[in-house]
Amino acid sequence: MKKVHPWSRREFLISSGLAAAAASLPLGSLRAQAPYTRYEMTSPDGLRMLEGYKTAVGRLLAKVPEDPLNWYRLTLIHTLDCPHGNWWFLPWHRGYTGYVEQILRAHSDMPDFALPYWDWTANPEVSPSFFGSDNALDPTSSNQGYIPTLAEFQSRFEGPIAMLYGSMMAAQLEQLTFRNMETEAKLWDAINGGLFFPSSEARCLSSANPTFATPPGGCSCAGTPKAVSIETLNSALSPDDFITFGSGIATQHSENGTFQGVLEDQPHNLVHNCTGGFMGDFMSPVDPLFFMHHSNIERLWTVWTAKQEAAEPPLPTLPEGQELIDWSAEPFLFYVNASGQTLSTTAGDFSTVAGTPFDYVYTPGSPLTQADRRKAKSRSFNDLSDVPFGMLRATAKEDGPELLARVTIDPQGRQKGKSFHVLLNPPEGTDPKDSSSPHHVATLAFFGGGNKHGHKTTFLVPISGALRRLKAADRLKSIRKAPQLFVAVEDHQENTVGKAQKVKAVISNH
Amino acid sequence: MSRTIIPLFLLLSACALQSFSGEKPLVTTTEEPAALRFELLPERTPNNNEALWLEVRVGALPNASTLILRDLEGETIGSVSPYGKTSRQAGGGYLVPLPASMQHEKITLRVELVLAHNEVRRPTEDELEEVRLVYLAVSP
Repeated sequence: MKKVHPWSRREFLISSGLAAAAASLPLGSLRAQAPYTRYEMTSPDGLRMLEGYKTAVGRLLAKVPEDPLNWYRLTLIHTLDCPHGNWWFLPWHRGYTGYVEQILRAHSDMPDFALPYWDWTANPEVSPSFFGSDNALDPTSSNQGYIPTLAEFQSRFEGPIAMLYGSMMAAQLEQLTFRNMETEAKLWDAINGGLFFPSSEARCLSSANPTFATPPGGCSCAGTPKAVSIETLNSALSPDDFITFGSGIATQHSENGTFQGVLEDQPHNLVHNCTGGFMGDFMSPVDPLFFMHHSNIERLWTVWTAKQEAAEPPLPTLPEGQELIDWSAEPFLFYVNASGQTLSTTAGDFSTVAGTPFDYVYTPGSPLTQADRRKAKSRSFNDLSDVPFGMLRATAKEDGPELLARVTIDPQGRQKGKSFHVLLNPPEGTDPKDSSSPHHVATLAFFGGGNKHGHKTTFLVPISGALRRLKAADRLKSIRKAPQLFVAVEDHQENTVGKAQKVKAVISNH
Repeated sequence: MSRTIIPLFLLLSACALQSFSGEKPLVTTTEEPAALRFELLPERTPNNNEALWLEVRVGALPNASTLILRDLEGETIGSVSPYGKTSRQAGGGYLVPLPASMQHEKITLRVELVLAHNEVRRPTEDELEEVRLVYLAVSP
């Protein structure tokens, strides 16, 4: 296949000449099973993980500043070493999120803890789990260990940061010269220059306005809905080579590369900036949303890798030839493990998930791969309340999947002359007969049967139409907490309509 | 509204990818009150395994600002919003995919700078340095 690589004639020639090196690349996604699963964060398992996350973040916030596992100390690893705008953006963040995940697991009381991911394409808003004055996942909360002012942060961390610099290896200090942070004074200049946010400004999106489309005034959200759209993701995942996908070449990881790829420059950058506060700059890991955001970026890298491996013939998943050697050798020297020990690693250590000590897999998210779609076809849930809200939202789109509910009706005696109105979270006062209501799903009736007593019968009821009407009426959010089907019995002979009763229904998507 | 031929740097960047005929400009700009309007002429239709994208090169951008690229109907095509103060001050190159509907003919874009509190103005030449078309090898 002809490879078009317009960034640099030199880069193109080198990578073409050494294309054979691709044959030896590790195939990270070809694994039978991993011990940890990163779930979509609004799914039942994702919500369970968020509870463990909240516990762990609270404990790390409570650690003394001298402890390298203190939440702000973990944040400073990002401040001191994170690459952006170059081809080490992806592996560095894989390593960072992976080691922090291990630390969180050790503090979560959940042996199976793994970072859930924020599928902002399905859920383009901050989840309610991240708001609340008594919530360790909300950095605007000042009573959960979050430091309310820059002055207090300086007071608490001046000594520990001096100790940190005093303990650094020469190689670490050399790395810091590349980003003008080789002394503690220079780090403080950066922090004082706008990296720290007081509690009231720690995040811009709020519980009152959590969405990218209608943010509170002052949040930088222009363009964000498009940046997280399925169209943009499909484009981001389309390049055939790692460099176009994962951002351009640089000589060291604190340098701007030749360009930013779409995954980094669209959803990554815009979600950071739209969320705002800490998330808008290099102390972003103070906001716990950071790790859900980067878990999704990392997931999309695995989706792209799987696409490359599935191509006929397979396409390269990493840089090639001498570029792979240069890329792999880049030192990452600031991570800490769950024991608080500083680790000496290189980018090549994080070229695949399988080669790392992290060993996780992801549940399917946006965009679904062909394999995911095949699996999703047979997906079913015991009740509507078990369906992730992201799936309900996706169903509500015009081109979304179809959701079917298996609703079992017991006519309780005579079946003739009765109608059974199926409703979706009807508000108080809803007329069950009103088929124009967006909460009205369907009306069921038995065919024939005279006055004989009927038996329980299961109907297959599409609920996608009701979800779309709820979305059009801007009421989809009203069912978010507890989506539930109800049935109200109308007796035409008696001219009565009974009160709508909750019903359980197995849900499947198609 | 004044119609102008774009600055030389834009022409040169376009020439790097396309054979410049010398008869008609490959990129033209028109200044609008709150946007720059670009017309770009692709050299050819992308092949089956190619996509036509934009590379947008920016200089330092104001704090909390976003460069928005729209089509003539006002639909957002993509944006440039550097992450972090360092990147925002340094400038750099950003890839922006073009939708399938814009892969085959003259491409017209409106580029505007959205500032904090949603104030919108035209980007300066220092802020928007270059817009060019690039052909990329892609697969679904």
